[in-house]
Amino acid sequence: MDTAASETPMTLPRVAELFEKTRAEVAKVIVG
Amino acid sequence: MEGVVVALFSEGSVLLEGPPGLGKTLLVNVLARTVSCHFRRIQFTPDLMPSDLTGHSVYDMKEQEFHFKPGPIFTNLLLTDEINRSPPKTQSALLEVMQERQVTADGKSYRLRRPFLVLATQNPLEHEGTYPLPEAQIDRFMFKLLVDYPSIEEEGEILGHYAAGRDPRDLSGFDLNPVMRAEDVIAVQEATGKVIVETSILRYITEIVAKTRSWHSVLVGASPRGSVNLLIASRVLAACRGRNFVVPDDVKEVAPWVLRHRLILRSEAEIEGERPDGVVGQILDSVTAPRS
Repeated sequence: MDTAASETPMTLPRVAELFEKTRAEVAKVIVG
Repeated sequence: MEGVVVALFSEGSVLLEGPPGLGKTLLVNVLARTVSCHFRRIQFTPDLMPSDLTGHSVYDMKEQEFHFKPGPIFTNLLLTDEINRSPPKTQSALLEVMQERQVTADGKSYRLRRPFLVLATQNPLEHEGTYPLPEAQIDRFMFKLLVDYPSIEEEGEILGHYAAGRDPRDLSGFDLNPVMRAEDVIAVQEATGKVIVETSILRYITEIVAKTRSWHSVLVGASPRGSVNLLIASRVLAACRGRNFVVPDDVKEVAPWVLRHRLILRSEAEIEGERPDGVVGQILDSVTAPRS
């Protein structure tokens, strides 16, 4: 995990970024 | 999949319903790796006791006193497989803890970790040897998500993983990287609290939920907890979509996830083939959305 990134203040654009990243990671295994 | 991530960002528990073999457990496993947090899995069985979940006191002979030994519920992400296989006493213990976020044993209260959410699976096809979750308790799940069979293309993708030598039973072959930590989930919740919800959206939500209580085919509608969850989920979805304000489409998108398990249909409506998702759709069509 990118420690620097995780220490970035939690703003709404950061929430959207984390959502996309989480979705992308899950999609590596889960289809649909 | 989006629903599970929105639930995680809302710290809301999810009931995943679908036939076996559709990857419900795998989804939760992958999510736990993506969010670097503590994860436990427990298989619900007919002989599972409440203390098997919550923990129990053990007598320490040396110190001559009882010590509390925490159970698997002291985690961030708890996967409860086949929740309807355990008797109501154990289900109730879990659902009470979900609500209170603490365990009380021998007069002492023990706080759970944060974030804490339960991802419970159940199979809708088997009824023998199962104990349906009571309606009052099913309300404690923020979402009920339905896991359906994959399309031909999706099934092809699943086979593609195996053909390429990647077996989901060993996730090391998938190059999964954690993208956030447990404390980030709490920070996400605080950040999404800043998403603007206009009065017109609040009225839209209350009108939808009120209609579930008076709809002709519904015997029991959604509780105020349903309204609150509809609001929270809409706000989180708006943030996930990169907006700082909620639009009616956010509410419409999360409404089936939030409401489907909170409606008890009249028996005659069920006999006529009505289903909760259809009723939620009818109600959404009947309520005029505010102009965004």
